[in-house]
Order: sequence, then C-alpha cells, then structure tokens
Amino acid sequence: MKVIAITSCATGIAHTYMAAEAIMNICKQNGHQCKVEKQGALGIEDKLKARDIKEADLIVFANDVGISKAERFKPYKDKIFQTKPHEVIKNPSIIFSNN
Amino acid sequence: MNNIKLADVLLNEMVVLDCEPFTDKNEMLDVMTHKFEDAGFVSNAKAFKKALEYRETLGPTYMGNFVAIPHGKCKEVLKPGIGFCRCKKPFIYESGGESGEVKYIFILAISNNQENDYHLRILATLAGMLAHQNFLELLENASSYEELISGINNL
Repeated sequence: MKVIAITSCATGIAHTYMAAEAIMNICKQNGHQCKVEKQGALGIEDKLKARDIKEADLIVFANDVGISKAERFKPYKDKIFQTKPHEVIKNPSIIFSNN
Repeated sequence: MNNIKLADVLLNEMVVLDCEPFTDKNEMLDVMTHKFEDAGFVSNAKAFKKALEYRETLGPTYMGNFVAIPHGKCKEVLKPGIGFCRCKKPFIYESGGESGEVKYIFILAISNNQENDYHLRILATLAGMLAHQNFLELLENASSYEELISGINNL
C-alpha cells in the first residue's frame, strides 16, 4: 500500500526527524511505499505532491504543532490516522492501527 | 551522512563514553550544560539548562531504547551543537510525565537564528539516525570518540 505522512514537533528538530525515519522504517519492513513530509525548523521538506496525497492508502499525521497547508488533505479525511511523533517513535506499527 | 561534518557539532570534549550513571536527569543536565559552555557553544550554562527544562515541560524527551534527547533552544546558544554521553549502567530518566531507563543521552543545543541551517541539518540528521538499530549498536560498541565519528560517517 501507499503510505504518506507528515511529521512536526515543538522544536522542529528532534521528534520531527526521528518520527519520519521511524515511519519510513516500518513501512519498508512491511513492504509499503512511503513518503514523509517533514515540517520542522528547516521549513517544509520533501513536500507531498497532490498526486501523492490522491493516491495514498494511508495518511499519517504525527504532529505536536499545527500542520501547515492541512487543507490539502481535506478530501481524504477518512484515510487520516492521527498520532503524535513521540508515539510513532516508541511504537512505529501504531500507524497501521486502523488497517 | 554525506557532506556533513558531524565532528563540527559533536566535539570530542562534549562526548563522554562510559561515565558513571547519573542520579537523575537534573544532575546529568548540570554536567552536560557546563560542557557546552566550556566548549563555547552556549554563553551561559544556566540559561541553556533553563531552555532544556522548558522543553521537558512540553513533552517527553525519553525515546525508548535507552535513549533520551533533551534539547533546548535559546538566545544563549551561540552555535548549534550536540553533546553525547554513554553511561556504564542505565539510570531512571523522568521526562514529561514518562520515565524509563536511559543509557545514551544526546543533548542538542539549537540556536534561535536561522543562519545555521547547515548545523540544524546535522542535528536533524542525527535525530533521524536514532530510529535505526545499527546506529544504536554503534553507540553501544564505539570504544572511542574517533570510532564513534567514523562509524556514524560510514552508516
């Protein structure tokens, strides 16, 4: 399946990037494609394209602070799994809870 | 870590391998913030410690796998830097309402200004590496600062 995710955290450095790696790892282990957009102190990195969002089977929001440009995901609300970066880091497979 | 000089931000004098376990987080922060001041990364160890403590109030920096990454951002950070200590034995680390056994601690000093994107990139890359098992193994097995740095560069 195709997984996309957005990570963000309070300071924009530590959890944002750890959570992104954790999500990519767990997807790789389970044979899923994965793209993660990081919204951190360095701005938006690896920004998801409209096509990524449209084709995604699972959308993971792992954020402590508001997600910028969240309106992009509005039509796909039912695919969103909402969590926190800290939770994903401790237990990455949590992102598949709804599947 | 292509093209990134980790050794620029993770200095020898801020790496402590095989130290005696700390009594608690507070003691660890005292010791490590002074190292940041001595190495010229922060102008005032107390102010930096306050910033670290503030971040602790926002949520846990205990990350599981015996790892903690306390981090602080304040104007007293002159340039972004990383401190690391590996304890001989785990100690109980309480953070943001959670607690767990911690052996490996990365302390990150994050500056307010954005002119240091290069350094922030290193901190971000390092944070990402913590999610990888082979990096954790390196932290356990490195026998010297040089081995740690070259091991990280080869990951």
